[in-house]
Amino acid sequence: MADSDNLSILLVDDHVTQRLMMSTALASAGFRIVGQAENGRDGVEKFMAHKPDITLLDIEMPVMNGISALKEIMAADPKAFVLMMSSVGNTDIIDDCLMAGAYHYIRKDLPVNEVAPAIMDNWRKAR
Amino acid sequence: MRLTIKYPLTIITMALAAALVTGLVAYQISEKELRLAAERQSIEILESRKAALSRYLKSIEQDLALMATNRTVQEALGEFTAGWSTIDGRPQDRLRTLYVDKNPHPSNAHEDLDQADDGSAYSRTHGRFHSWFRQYIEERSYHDIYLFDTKGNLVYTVLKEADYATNLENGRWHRTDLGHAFRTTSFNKFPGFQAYYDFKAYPPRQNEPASFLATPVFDSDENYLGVLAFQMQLDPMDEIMQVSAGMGKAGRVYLVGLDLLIRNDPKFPKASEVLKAGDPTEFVNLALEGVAGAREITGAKGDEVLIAYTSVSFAGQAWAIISEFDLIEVLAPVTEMRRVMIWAGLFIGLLVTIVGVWFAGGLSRPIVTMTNIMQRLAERDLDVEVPASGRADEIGAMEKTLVVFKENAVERQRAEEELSQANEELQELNELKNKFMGMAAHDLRNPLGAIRGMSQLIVDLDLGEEKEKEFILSINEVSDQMLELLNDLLDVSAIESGNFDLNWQAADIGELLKNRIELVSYSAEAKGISISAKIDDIPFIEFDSARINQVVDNLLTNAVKFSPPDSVIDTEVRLQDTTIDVVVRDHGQGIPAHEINKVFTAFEKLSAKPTAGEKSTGLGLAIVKRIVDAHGGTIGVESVSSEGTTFTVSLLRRPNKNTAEQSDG
Repeated sequence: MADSDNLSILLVDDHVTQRLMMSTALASAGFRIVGQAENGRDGVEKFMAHKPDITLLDIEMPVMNGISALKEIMAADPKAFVLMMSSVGNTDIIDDCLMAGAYHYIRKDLPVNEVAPAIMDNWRKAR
Repeated sequence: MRLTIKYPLTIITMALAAALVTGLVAYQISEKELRLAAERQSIEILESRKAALSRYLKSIEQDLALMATNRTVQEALGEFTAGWSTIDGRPQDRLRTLYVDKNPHPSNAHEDLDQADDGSAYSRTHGRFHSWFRQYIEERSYHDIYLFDTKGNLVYTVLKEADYATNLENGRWHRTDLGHAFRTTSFNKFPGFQAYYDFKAYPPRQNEPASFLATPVFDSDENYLGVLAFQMQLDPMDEIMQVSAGMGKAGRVYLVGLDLLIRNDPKFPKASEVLKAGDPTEFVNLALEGVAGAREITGAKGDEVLIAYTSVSFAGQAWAIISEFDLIEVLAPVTEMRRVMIWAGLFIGLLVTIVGVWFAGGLSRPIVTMTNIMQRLAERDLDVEVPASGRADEIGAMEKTLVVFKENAVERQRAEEELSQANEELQELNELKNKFMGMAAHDLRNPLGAIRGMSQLIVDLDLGEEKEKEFILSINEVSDQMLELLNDLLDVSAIESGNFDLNWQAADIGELLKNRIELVSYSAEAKGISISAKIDDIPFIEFDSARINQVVDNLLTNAVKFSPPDSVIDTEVRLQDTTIDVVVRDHGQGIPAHEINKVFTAFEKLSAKPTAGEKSTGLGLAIVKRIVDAHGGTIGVESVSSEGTTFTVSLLRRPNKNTAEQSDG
């Protein structure tokens, strides 16, 4: 748990229940939720504002989707650590995201108590 | 082989074969007839020549017999013999001097001297008889007349040639035929005896051909006086043989003796051919053996010649009469006929070809046309026109059958097209269904994931009562969404599968609208939205209340979802000519033009978003459209960007319930 202490996270997802669930789980795992956004545009603005250590980015969102948001984020900060949140099956889109600079992805059907360890695994690998 | 070639070819071949066979047979028969006719003709000619010649030779015999018994001749012979014996010296030399050497007339006209003027008894006798004898040979066409005394002295001749006044018993010319004639006759000196010597080179006449007939002469007391002889001329025989009637241009008749020499001058001789070798020997020999006949031979130059042959006898002497016909000349009519036939054959061939091609064309053209049509039909070219000639024959029957074929093909193609269209539609439907299932599963997974995650968190974490309550409310809310989605799915499924019965009942749609507005007013007021209703005075119409409730609810809920806070939603019920229209108009952001035709498609979530985070299954309007369609009504949408969207549902005032339901399975 100590590893995740004080790692700041930005959560971008259009489903309010998803955000509630994720923020609760991640906060209890020791992450610091610095912001939540409901679409890509909002997400990019909040990224600029908070410069979080980790950005969790949903792919299908209104106004601005995850890929467009990812590209703006990476353009603004090439060192940004972004993990995509994806449903099963749309691997082509995930490939596009990895090409666009996302570090990896977290599957949305992962049990909620495994999300924080998965994020940490990726974070450690990235360091 | 193609019929267009086979038919004319058969007809032409048959016609030409018939023409050829007929022509050949006619030609053969004609040629044979001509040959036979030529043979008959040549034999006839030969026989007539033979008869003429026989008559002539008989007349010579008669002449000689008459002359031998003629008193003048007897007297002349007696006096010449007496005169001869009274000549001084050698009478031979003396007479030749007087009548040959000193003859005042040219050598070819010695006979013109009637009498030498030596005053001798001989010359007086000569003067008495010479003109008579001369006249005789001229009239009777003999070459010469000879008078011998018993010793063989040639005491008188008309012409005074080299033999004149010689002794033929033992003199210079005694080996000639004249000498033989004298000796034979003097040996056989009885009345009526005649010795004949055939034409043969005669030395006293520079080997000119000469023939002699001799007979003994007696006085009235039957005392032997000497010998009378004729030398025959060729000219009369020539005349006989040269009769040209029916001989053609190149025909010839030969008279040939035992010596195989030709006796007469054949027609058109290059030189006198008399006593030249007879030809052809074979037929001469046959004729001389007494055989008569005719035969065709091929000459040395390959020319066909018709030879006819027979014989004639005279004084125990046989002659062959041979005729030659040039068969080319004989067959000239058939040659001409052949020429005419070739041209006629060519003409007939041409005519038959034209007629054959025309006829066969008439026969095969429709077949070829039909074949082409069949081929095109086989290749599925159904635009092909089947000709309708209305013929009563097999072609007509074929056309009728072909029309049936074509109709069948058209029918089959239509069926196939329908089938393939149905297949296509099924495939599209199947794809749509798969897509639909995928979308439904996707849309169900998100809320289910939320339920799982949040319940997990409640169990795992010590959230505190307030937080737990919030989570449970969320779970409840998400469950509602799922239920709504599942209900919609079941609705769509029911409608799509045709398992969709309308409960038709007459009702007031204006009342229905008012009731439904009341039901959404709570959530509308929560956003500060007011809903107006302008309802015409309308009659009851028949519809399924529960379904139309669903439609109106959906439209109203959507309007609330997409209206900005503190705005107005206008609703209307309008009475139209055939319909009653229900209109719901919001003042939201509107639907972009490129999306307006997708609003009724299942799972099409458009760019417009509910203004207060409301949820949408993406199925609502699809279900609405299907329900309206099932009623036989229509639903339309108009939208102006930033000004709002208007949905208009038109329900028929007199719905046709059966077709309405069936029109949308």
